[in-house]
Amino acid sequence: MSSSAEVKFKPEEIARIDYSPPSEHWTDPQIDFEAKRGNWCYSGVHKSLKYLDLPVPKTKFAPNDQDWGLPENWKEIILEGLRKRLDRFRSLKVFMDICVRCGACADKCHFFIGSGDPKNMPVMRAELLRSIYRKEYTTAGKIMGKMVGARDLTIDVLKEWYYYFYQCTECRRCSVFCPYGIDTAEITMLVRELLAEVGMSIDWIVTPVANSFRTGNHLGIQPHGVKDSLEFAADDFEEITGIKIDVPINKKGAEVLFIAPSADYFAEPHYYTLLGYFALFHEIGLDYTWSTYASEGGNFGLFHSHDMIKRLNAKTYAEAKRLGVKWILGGECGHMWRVYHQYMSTMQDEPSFLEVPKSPITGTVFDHARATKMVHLAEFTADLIRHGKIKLDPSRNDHWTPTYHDSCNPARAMGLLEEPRYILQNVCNNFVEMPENTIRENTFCCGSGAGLGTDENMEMRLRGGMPRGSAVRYVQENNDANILLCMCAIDKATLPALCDFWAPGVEVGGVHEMVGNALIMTGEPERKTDLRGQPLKGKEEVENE
Amino acid sequence: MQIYRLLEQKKAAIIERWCDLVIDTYPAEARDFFKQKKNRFSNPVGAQLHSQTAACLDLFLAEAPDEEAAACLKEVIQIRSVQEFSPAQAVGFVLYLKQAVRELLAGEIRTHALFIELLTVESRIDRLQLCAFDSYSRSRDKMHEIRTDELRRRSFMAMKRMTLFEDSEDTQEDT
Repeated sequence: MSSSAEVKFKPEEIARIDYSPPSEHWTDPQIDFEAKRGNWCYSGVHKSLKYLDLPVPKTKFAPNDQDWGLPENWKEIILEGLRKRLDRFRSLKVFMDICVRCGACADKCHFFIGSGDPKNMPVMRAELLRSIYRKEYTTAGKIMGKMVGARDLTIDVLKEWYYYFYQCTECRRCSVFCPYGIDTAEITMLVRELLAEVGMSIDWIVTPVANSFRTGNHLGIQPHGVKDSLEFAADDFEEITGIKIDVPINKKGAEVLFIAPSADYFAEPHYYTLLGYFALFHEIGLDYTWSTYASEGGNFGLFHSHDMIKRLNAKTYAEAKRLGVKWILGGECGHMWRVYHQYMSTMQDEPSFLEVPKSPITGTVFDHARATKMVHLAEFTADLIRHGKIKLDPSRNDHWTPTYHDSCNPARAMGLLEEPRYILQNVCNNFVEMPENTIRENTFCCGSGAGLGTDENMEMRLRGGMPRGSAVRYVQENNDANILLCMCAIDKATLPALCDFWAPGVEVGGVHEMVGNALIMTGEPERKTDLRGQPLKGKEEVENE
Repeated sequence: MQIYRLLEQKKAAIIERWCDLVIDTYPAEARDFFKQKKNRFSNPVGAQLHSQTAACLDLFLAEAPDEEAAACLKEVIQIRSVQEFSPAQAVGFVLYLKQAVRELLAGEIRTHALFIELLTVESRIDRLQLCAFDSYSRSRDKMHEIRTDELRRRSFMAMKRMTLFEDSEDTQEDT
């Protein structure tokens, strides 16, 4: 087989020169939204925008409409917004000036790998903003324009931003490869902030944000609904395991406030992870509580704007204070961890009313969580296992051959690489890894994060998820992997689609679902099924009798 | 047929040309990337395209049933079904095999007067194309199915409780 270099320089191909200039220059934005259905998300509904006191477009628009109802002074708002942010964030200024277009990031984005659209290259996506920055804020750009990659801000540029910055999942895989450490996700975040200032947001972000702001969770479930769901799940748990458990809700004075993604108590396959939490907390006798007010782990504000992160984050700590807990334990959520580990200390004081988290079971002090007073459940459980505080029977997971997807935020933003693996090695016998360049810091995104996990952009999600899908398919074919585990609610919601398409037959689950299966609980009757109600290996006949 | 022997001799070049023609359907800036085929994880589109067109041509030249040869292209079609192509663009690449064969075997076909044999080969490629359309259609159906499944999973708890409610109503009726 000849290499790509040989292919490029074959004599007959050198002779075949295409003299026609490209039909369009990259600086000329032309997005035909109608023709590109399946690749963009619907705009934010007015009700949600109003609820959040956000700018509302003059007319209701869908991206394929011509008129997006922008305010008269939209240009002024965007340029002033950009200027303010350049003054405020030195990082943004550096990111605008420092890129040398080396191309190291170009082929690292799952959307580019899946689509081949050059504007999905992180460098090009960032150029969509840089070109405006050059024109407005650099002398060379003002004088030489297109020659130095500068262009005027037009409505079509805004529409192009809307199209491409909502084709970025802020996963930061590109940043791992950038020799200058440019965080392309932050460029995406800032452009999304600018767009929101003229009323251009997507609905799968603003409505979850509005719901979180109103009821505490992105689905808009009211307190009695949260309570009802958790109690229903507790009954279900008893039916499956034979163990009756209490689910403490809004319990004042509990030691720990537990916050999980709301999907854990509402969606599938998240639900089985919820049952896993129940099993663990009951068995170790943790003095904890759920909250019907801080009933969402995920901070959807991260996908919208810095201010919105702050507004939603404040609720968690207000609730911790109200309930009088000592510290906070967080469930299997993804982007909540980027907020806590990378942004929270920039927007609020250290919550001094809380204590540095200390495991009541092992006595381990989680010093690294001193600033946030919040510990990830994987750290907590890995510590329990390390100290031999829970009894496990990994053979109860023998019907699974799990592989592990490093969800972008816990992995890249938090460095949580070893703990989930340590847990899985203790609760499963058949754990297999996907290929090296697709896991840990190099993990491939699900293609649906950062607010893109909706259904109108399914084509885009599926092709963006293909690099992950290919790796799953590989372990399915070579190692008989049959479940893809992860620690992120968005992953759990969207990876089933990806697996159904690229690796049919592979299920999706959570790490604590496996913990719940393997955990030997005091006084339990013989376990015949897993938390999904599926017969354990060797118990199939008993089930069928 | 003599043409199969000639095709076999030029197989590597035909695959290369066929892949190049397919890759030319992507934006110019992405073509060099897709031409690399070494790592199926960092470049799944390029790797699948090269390995699957090769597998397809192997079966085609071994005169396996056309459905079997076309099945090799299933994943390339699946990929193209969710990329920014119209249905015709997504599946039409199969016909590029004709162009590759005509270009690379032009001299031999004229010298040995293999036009009738060429027509047979091209008719088989047409059948591959029809099978490709089936694959495309299945892939799009699957995508729509996935859309509705996802909605169902999102309201899992509501559905579960509804089912339980219905079950208990059934039980009441039974008793």
